[in-house]
Amino acid sequence: MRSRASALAIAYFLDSVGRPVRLPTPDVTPERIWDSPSGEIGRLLGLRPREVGLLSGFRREFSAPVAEARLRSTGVSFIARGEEAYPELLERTFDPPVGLFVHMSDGDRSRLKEILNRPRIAIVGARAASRYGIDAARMFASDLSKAGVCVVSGMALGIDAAAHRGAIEEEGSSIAVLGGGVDVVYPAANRRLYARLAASGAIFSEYPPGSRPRPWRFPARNRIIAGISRGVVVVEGCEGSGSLITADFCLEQGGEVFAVPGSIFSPLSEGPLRLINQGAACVAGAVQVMESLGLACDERNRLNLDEGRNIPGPDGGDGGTPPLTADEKALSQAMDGMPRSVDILARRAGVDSASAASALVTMELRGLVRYEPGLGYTR
Amino acid sequence: MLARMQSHAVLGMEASTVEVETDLGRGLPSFSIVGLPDTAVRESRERVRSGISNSDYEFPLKRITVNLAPAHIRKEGPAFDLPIALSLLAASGQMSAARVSQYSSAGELSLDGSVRRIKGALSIAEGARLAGSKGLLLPAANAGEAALVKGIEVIGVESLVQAVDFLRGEIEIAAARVDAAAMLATAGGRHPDMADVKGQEHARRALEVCAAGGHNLLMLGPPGSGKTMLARRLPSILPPLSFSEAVEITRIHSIAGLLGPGQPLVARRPFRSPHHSVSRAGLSGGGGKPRPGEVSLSHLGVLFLDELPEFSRAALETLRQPLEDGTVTISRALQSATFPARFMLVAAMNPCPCGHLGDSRKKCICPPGRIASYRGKISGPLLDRIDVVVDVAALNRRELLTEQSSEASAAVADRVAAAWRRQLRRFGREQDQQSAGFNNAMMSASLVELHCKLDGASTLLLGEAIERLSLSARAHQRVLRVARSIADLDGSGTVGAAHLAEAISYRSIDRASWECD
Repeated sequence: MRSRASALAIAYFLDSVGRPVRLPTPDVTPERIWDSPSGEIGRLLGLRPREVGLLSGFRREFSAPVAEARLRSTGVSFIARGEEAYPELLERTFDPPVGLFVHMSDGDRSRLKEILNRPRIAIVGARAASRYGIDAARMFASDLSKAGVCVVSGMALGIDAAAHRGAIEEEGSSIAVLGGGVDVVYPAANRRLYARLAASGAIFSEYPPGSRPRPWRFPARNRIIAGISRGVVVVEGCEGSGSLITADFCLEQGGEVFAVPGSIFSPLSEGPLRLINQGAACVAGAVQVMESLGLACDERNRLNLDEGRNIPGPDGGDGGTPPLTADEKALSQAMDGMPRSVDILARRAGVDSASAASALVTMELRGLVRYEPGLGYTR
Repeated sequence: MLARMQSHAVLGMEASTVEVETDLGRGLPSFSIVGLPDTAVRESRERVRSGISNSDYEFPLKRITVNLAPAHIRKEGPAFDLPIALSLLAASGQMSAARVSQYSSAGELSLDGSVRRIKGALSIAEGARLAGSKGLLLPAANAGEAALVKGIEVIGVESLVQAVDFLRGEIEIAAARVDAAAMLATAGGRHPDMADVKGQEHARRALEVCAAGGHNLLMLGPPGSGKTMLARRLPSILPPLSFSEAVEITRIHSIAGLLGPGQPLVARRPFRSPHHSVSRAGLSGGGGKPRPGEVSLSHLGVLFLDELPEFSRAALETLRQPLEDGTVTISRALQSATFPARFMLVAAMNPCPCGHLGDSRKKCICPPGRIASYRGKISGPLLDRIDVVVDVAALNRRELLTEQSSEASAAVADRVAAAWRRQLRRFGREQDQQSAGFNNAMMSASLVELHCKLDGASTLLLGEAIERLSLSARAHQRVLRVARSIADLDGSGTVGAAHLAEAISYRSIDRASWECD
């Protein structure tokens, strides 16, 4: 109990002075740190003299029971390192957080336990994802959830959001690890997703509630995404993006990295292609991920997954769709896997622009081509 | 001794008659103007005094009172100089007061007695005709535009001396004439031509569809993709102006004082492209004394707003009334005025703040959240009034070099004119042909239902589109209106599946929201 109170105090204090919530010397327990004299605490936490000066005031004001009560009333629970619920995988990482704040709208500990008992796989990728990436993330997430895996991601726009959605849709559960407090919805565009995640999954953060997201918190957050997951699936990402940082953490911590291949012409494929070069497994479906992690799919799920990949696209070919016209055929032959503007496709197919626009929309409605806003049509 | 002369004050688009009464009385020499004059009118005392003296007439040393009746209308501007000077000369017995009272006049005097051009001469001529004047004396520089009004003799004068000589009957001045038909006939060729645009077939087609149905257009494309170039060529594919349309436009430009010397008639469709720093009053019109703004100056032409998100929200919101009603009403404490404002709105914007989303030449560096907030700057109600949204892709160097030159404006204009004739027949406005502006874009929901009859295949397609692309009810109406215009271009009575599909392709912005809960 003392250890828990100390961990809570350290988390709140480090956050209040605007520092990352992490222990530079993870093998020293929180209560040993917190019970030391101020100078010693400063040394153990690597504080600046000014911050050490703030310590005594903070210690006078801070009361762990009050903080606990406030957390409980807002539906947030705290799991200190060393407690039973603390993810074992995270415990074994190089730099585990002193504790995790968890938000679930029902605050049900047994549900949390159930989620934490499942195998976890992270799906991460670019925020400015393409339609292809969104579809891929969704497919992996929903297939993994069907097989009983909990999908972990960062609730960013693009791939992260698609992964969470794919998981929730299949009534699976999903964990979002945030770069700010668990009650701070960032980005705001994901407000609805946040509510759904809080209802059927869980929201994690190492920062106390109310803490604002800061740019330097996201790489630190990525170590937790990697840390609580058995493996990381990288869907799209440019060179130097956060997804690659997550993948690096995962490797350091002994996890598996999977890369979903993309078009060699797309800058979004830089990340996955580099990972594949470095030896990451190139995966085209959730089954490959499950198998290489040695996770058993039960027979029913296995059948579901083998039935074919859950590719969004042509509606079941029940013979009801009319055959392609000459224009449509020419246009679909003109496509090369990258989104192309109507003009380019029309010229390649030798069709005038008005008919091309019309034919492309007709094909889009039949699910044969896709429109990417601002970019054009692709298969 | 008392003398009168008629003049006219421009209020909004109309001119109301103002009686200029000048009385010479006994007493200390003085010169006062009464009847709600503004500063420019009060200053006319000095101009009139010098103008009369320098024209070698006698300026009477009497107590001079000028009354501008009715007194409740605010008189503004220097156009009363000429009637004040003429009635003053008549009152002092230097010419016949009876003859002066039969005429109307307006004009600004220079100190040397010459007559300068004024604003709103066309409206003044219309006012003089309605007031039943025998003739209207105007600055020679304004005589051409005023001559567009039939049924009033417009006498252009260069100087006060000429005006006096004419009224004394000492010289004859022929009434001004303008050959509007010839000016209209030669105007068309002066627009920049569509043939200059390389490639961009899709955008050119969108422009043609917009021209055919009077739809407003938004172009999304990276810098340098040719959005401005395309917009500038839109007037060239619109049918030529009719005489009455040209007069309507000329009238607005006359009031704004934008007619150049030697340009009695605006014979081309206007193309206005205000900078994005334009104020609310600059865009919609206004000021203390209502003046036409850009929306009115582009009446029957094209209003081009480049960099749409950079315009102030307040300015853009004022576009709503004109887009809805084709007129703009400016209400001020002292007066309100209504100006016509039926224009085609063409807007252009970058697809994202850095401008390079979807650009094959350069990578976009915008975080996704900023793209959404950039697009969110355009308010929903404004977007609702834009029927066609088209992506304009940038051409790469190879395409620029190899691209064939394209179809000339004249050919496109013929197809558009045919589509306009179909609409004219459909909406039954033959009797009002001159100003018939009713087009597909203005169809109400009930008219859409009446005129956009779908065949079996297109009904199926529309259902599919509503479901798969999650088109809203409003978007669905827009698609139907645009499809109607495409069918008109095609000469088809019913809206076919191909027309409908093409119309849907011009709604890229409705479909941009695929990533949602």
